[in-house]
Amino acid sequence: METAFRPVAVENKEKEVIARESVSYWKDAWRRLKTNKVAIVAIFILATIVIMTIIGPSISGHDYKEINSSMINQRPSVEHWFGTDALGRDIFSRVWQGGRISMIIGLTGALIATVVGSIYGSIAAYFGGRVDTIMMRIVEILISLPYLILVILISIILDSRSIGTMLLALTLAGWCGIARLVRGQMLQLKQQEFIMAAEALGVKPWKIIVKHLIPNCLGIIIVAISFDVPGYIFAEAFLSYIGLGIQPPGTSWGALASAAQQTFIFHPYQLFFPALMIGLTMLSFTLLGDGLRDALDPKLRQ
Amino acid sequence: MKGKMFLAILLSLLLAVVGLVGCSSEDVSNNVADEGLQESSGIDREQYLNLVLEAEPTTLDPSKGSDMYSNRVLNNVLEPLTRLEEDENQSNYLAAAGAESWEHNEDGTVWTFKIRPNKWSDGVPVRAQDYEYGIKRSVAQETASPYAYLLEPIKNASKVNSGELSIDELGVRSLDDETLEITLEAPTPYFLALTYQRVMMPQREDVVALHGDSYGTQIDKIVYNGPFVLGTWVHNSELILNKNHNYWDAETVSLDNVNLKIIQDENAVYNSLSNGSIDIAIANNPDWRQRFINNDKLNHFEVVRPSTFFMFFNTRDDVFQNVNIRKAFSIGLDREEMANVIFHGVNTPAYGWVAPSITIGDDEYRSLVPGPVKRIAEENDPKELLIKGLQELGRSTDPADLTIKVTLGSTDQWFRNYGEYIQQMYNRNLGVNVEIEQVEWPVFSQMASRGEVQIGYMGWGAEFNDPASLMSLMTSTSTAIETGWSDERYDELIALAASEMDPAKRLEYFREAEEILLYEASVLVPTVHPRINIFRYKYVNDIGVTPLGTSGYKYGYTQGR
Amino acid sequence: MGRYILKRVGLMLLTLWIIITLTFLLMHSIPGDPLANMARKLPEQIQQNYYQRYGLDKPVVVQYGIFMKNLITKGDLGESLVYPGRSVTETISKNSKVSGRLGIQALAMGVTIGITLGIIAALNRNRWPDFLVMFIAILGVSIPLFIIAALLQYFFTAKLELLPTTGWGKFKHTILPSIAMCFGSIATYARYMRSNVLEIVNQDYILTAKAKGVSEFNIIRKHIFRNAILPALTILGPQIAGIFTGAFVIERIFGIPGLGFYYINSINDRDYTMIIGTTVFFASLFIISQLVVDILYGVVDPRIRVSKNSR
Repeated sequence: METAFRPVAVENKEKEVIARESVSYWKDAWRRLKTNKVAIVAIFILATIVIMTIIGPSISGHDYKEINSSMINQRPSVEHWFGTDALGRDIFSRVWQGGRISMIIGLTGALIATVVGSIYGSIAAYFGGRVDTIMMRIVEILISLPYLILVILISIILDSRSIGTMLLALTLAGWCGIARLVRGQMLQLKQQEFIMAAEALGVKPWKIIVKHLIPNCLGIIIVAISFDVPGYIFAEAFLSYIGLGIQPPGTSWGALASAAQQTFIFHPYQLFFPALMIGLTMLSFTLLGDGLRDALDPKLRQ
Repeated sequence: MKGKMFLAILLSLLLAVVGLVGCSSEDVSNNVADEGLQESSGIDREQYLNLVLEAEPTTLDPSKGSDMYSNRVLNNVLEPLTRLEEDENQSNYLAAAGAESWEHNEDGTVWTFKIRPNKWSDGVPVRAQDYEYGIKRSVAQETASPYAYLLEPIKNASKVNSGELSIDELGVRSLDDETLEITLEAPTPYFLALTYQRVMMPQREDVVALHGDSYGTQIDKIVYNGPFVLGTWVHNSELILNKNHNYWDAETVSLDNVNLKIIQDENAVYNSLSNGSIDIAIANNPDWRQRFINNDKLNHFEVVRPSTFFMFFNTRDDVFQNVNIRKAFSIGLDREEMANVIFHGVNTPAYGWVAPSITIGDDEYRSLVPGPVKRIAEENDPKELLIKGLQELGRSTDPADLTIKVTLGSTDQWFRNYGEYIQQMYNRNLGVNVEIEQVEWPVFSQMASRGEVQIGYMGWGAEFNDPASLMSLMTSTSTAIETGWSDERYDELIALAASEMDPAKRLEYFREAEEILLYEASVLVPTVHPRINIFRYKYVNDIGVTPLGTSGYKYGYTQGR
Repeated sequence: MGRYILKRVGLMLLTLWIIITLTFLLMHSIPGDPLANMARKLPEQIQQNYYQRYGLDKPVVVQYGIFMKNLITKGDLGESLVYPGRSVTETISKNSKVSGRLGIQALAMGVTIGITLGIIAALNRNRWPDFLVMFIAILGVSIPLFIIAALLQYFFTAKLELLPTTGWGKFKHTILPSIAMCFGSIATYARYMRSNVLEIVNQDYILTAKAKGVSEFNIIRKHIFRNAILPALTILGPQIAGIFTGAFVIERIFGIPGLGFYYINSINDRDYTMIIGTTVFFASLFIISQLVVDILYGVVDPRIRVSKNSR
């Protein structure tokens, strides 16, 4: 007996196998990020800058602190690739050394703010009620204080102007934004069934926060970090401009730029290189942030 | 100006008393008549100037405030008893102003001033009582004037200021409307130099009473009797001075308007001078300075400031209690290189404590006494001195094991450069590690007085034209520079010099004292003596450039703008 | 709604009180005072007279009491310690007008340009105008303000001599500072508008309008613009508060007598009363603008009102 159709021999256990490889949220996001050329270029630029801040200060053969009174304000040349500054120091080395500090401040600042902010925000959101009100009131007070005052107060009270102090000063109120953001996201998540299920199963609150709530907010947190990093780099530059920047001999892009700003019409290259680095970093982080947001936004998932 | 400390120096300069000039008195007042408008034919029809003030004047109440910016305005809108004017060689002399003439009794304790007929801007005649009231108000305890202490030589001033005596006991009184009599505690050679300070300027009792605490805060809350009146005062932005037609010497005043723009940003000042929106500016930045020197529309004045920039040791410190280590750090600096690199060749290297241009007798002190620090450098090797000192202290003799801290009293960019430079210099020449600490000025002075500063950096300007002005700062009773150092012989020498009239003897006292201070004890590290570069458009004439002068804009005019 | 507002105002006052107290105590724990700021050490008696005159010789608690009493009963923030005779309240009200005028002008410029650029970018999504616009918008905020301001000042005043270098009073004085300041809001609004418009163009009613043959211009004007602008205006609140604080650098470089300029100077001078007064002013401005925005949200979007009350 011949029929047009015949059942394919399928073994029972194969019936439950998913034909296409399962695509996790992160894989999917990465796949979409890869197609975003702008974001990839940004990642590439950032990677180059980070690598250069690690190796840059030692490849020109001039120490960033080395003063050479016979080489003052030299234009870029074979000997000094980015030229020299008012004390005859090699700008190439200084730019990367300064970049190290700026990057550390930017990345660590954003990281600290994010960790503190996320935990704070989740606690407030999870417990809700009075705890939430009090915690959010504290946030409101902290962000209403002009941050210049906080920075000055802290650097004076702690009697130092090290990276640690600056980070503390900058992040003291910096985590508040993320705390609010995470809290908002959490409030929505809290209503969802899987949280209720976990609660019904008797999972402890901190475990719910760490295992369920925070991972589900990671998307927005990552986006927030990438927008926050340039904020800290900028804040550091501002502090350098008003004379509250990093203590010598340490330097940063902000310190280099504000030092060069006074004489930029005579020695434009002294301003150009640090300003270019700040600009590139800011631009890259912002574009990367945009890319990440598009990639991580579930609404845009196809 | 670089931060608070430089402001500090200028402030002290404004307090300056040019001692020798102050001694010759009455005969000088005639000079005024020769000044004024000789070239009245060629001058511009419209007479105005655009100038810059680096900060907002705190108040135009002469008894309050102490900043150089309000001093500058006050010199133009009020008429002090005398003015410190400037001749064509940029040297200062004392001239009569609000007082026509003056005389003193034999021992110099009672001074009588004849007040010149003059009018306030509201038409009321100026009387001796106005000067009397001004001085009394400055000394009165409840006024809380920061500069009241300048008036200490006046009889009972200290006791009135502390509230022990009533204000009527102060040695100031007006005999009639045009005679002012001032009695001093003791003869004071520099007394005349106080007569052009703000704390002795005239004030009207009725106006002060009318406005109370807000006296001097706005243009309509003060009356004027100087060459100019204040027409506009937008806080933190601009002041406009207009010619005062009621002024006794109004025909000498050519300028109708002087606009004082308040600009803090150094670059903005340079840009403004470049495009002609201001007529005079100070430019110590090397690049801008060179550009302005090359600009043939500008005149360049390089003016010596009688001050010294220096570092001081805390001699109670574990490390710097040792004199050899102090010497090592004193000569561990190449002052020539420093003057070139950090100060761009504008300032001159300093090997002594007394600043150039200060005279003793008729000669410049510095040209008679070479700076003692040079000899330490010639006789020793800095590293050997350091190791010797470390041995004496029983410490590790490897300089790399030593870390010291230099504290700078400003957070400004220039100081940052300076700190980085010092750090490298000591590391290179002595092999020690140096930490640089930049704090704001108030924190610095507090730290210094608590002995928390190992090495501090400061500048100090001479208050009067005599080596004593700087030398007396280092006696054991003075707390001006907190080194914790004292020396009996030094104190004795300074005391001897104060009462000695023979310049040759005084020179020997000061020479020996400076030798003790810098060569034997090496308590201070003088680094440079500063100069300032003033640029002025060529059409501007007769505006004083000396840091001490108080003639203001009275004689200024423009020609060929 | 009325109860909600009342509750929020109460909380606002509490927040303000905490901020005032904190600032007051912190300020008095910093080393240095206006006298220590002076170059030379003044004699003991002079210092005493000064402290007595300004009540600084009293214990901090008493000073705090006096300060709070004057503030509550008279709205008086005290007298400046550096500028004798100037009332802090008056100084703030005068200088904030300058900062306010400059800030509003810069903001208006920034918002207008930003919104326009955002719409242009969205309608040309992923084509060159989009990239160009967004690049410019981001570039403007990628370089520190003090560099932008210095460059503008040099080229327009020293080089081209078109505009005054510094000063305040006429419109021409405000041009360069406004340009320097508006980059921030251009970037914010261009980006915000772009994503708003992108969301709207895919909505059904736009498709319907297109299907019905409404001209492109009218679609943009009547549907897209109106619907995208409302949410964009809600971010104005925090921006308005930022007007006053964001101008430190600009006011310094262009010599503008605004509050930011005063603020930095008073911090350097340790002018306690000025610092506390200005901090309180900035903080209240921020809190009030937040309150207003929250209330407006409530008025515009009922869902938020409900969820707020349920908390």
